[in-house]
Amino acid sequence: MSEAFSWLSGFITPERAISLLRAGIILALGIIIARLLSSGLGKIMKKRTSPQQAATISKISFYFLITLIIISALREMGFDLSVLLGAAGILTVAVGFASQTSASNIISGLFLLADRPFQVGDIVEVGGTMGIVNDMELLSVKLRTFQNALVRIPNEEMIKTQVINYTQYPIRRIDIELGVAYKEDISKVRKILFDVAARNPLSLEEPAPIFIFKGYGDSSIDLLFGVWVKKENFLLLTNSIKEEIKAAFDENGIEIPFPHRTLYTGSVTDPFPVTLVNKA
Amino acid sequence: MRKSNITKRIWWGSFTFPENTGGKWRIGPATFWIERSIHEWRVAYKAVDELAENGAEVALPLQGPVEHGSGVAVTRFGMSKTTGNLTITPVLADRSVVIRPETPFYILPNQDVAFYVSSPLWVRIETGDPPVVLRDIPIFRPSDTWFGPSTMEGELCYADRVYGRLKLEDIKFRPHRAITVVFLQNQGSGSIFLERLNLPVPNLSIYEAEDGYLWTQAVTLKMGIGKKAELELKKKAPAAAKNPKLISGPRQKAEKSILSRALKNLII
Repeated sequence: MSEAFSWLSGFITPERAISLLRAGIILALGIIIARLLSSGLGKIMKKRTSPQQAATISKISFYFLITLIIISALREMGFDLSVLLGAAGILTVAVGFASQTSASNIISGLFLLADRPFQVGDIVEVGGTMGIVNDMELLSVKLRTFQNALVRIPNEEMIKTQVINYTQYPIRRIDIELGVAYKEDISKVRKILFDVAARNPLSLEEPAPIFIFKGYGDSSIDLLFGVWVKKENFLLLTNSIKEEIKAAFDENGIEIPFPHRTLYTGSVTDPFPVTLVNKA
Repeated sequence: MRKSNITKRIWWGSFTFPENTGGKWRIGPATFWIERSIHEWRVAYKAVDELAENGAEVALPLQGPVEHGSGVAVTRFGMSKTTGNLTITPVLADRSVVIRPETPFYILPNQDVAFYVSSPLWVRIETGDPPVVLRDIPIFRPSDTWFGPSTMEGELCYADRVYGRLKLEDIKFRPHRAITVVFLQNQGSGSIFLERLNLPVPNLSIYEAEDGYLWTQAVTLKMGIGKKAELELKKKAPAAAKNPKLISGPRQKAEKSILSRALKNLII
């Protein structure tokens, strides 16, 4: 015990104590200054870029400043930095091999921030998962699904897969696929559909709805009716207009057929015999 | 002489409600029921097809619980103690309105065309001092529409169901709409085709003429000089509105970006 104390008292000379104190001051002041500078930079960048980009720039600048401060403090304490940097180089290679996935995610995250295919609050679909972008971080993007589940998608995945952003543009089109019976007058069906869209205030008057005669289906004439809507009203109109189309078809006697199978006995055969059954 | 079959009953202004009474406003296609109790205001609203109904009438005060039938949207507002004063004001839409002429037409060079437009109105219901807005709702909610060069770029507006006209006599005066005269000035050397006009109604004021009809100030749209078009909002109602009285100011202050815009953002 006394040996250790004598070694310590021999080690901490007045010069060393002063350099330790200096290093401590550099560290303490440095951390405060780094925090102030990085948050100030973040605030400035927030006005010019998206909040996610500003937060990332702020974080990167903070860690960069902290690294510089630690190096200065170590120098002040009399460490030989060339040895330390050499060791750090070897360590970086080792860590680099060990954290390939994380590094790839970080780089992908930086590309995502620069590319900006979506922002926090956008509705996106990534590899079959649809949700609202909750957070964009250096390693991953977090989506909140409509079932209120959190989905974490690594940035590398976001770069590699197809991302559909449904809220990029202010208006969207709702495509309604429907079939009507072969006996129906298509021009009448068309007029009914356009009247339904005109009566619904959420359906945009311009761009006008589209009507496409898709083809002759097995049991019905297949149609596509597309109405435009303000992106926020997408769900409201999707529900309301489908109900209104059904009601308008019922009112006008337009048949929405279900799959039919007609049994044909051939021209040379007799028709099927039909017997009338009197239940009374 | 203008002919109209509307009941010239003014539905706006200040109204006094004794406690536990109500009132009924029928304004064109919409009916509002307003009730006051000690701690609560209730506003009920129902609308039928916009162009099917005309006229306006106010029944006030109505004693006891107000009967409004089923299928009516009722909104309740709680207060520590209600005061009996209620102000009802007509206001213009909260977005621009897009108007079509009955048939698209060309505005020939160096011509000044008066285009008469009828815009839908909103009802603002306020109470208390300082006034608190209870409701600010359309009498009949117009359809949304998009005005812009593409589906990526443009402005969300309301579509006007009433065509703009070149003669004032062709405009039907309705208590739930305000008339605007838009002077279309083509100062260029080529004709300009008018299919749809984007009128920034949130920047306009409403005036009441002596006959009870509602007007906004006149607007001049100067076109044909370069790609920019300039909107000039007059300071008062047009001469066709006799003895106009300002009853409601603009929702938004007209900024330079609204008044001077690319022509494609104002007419198509």
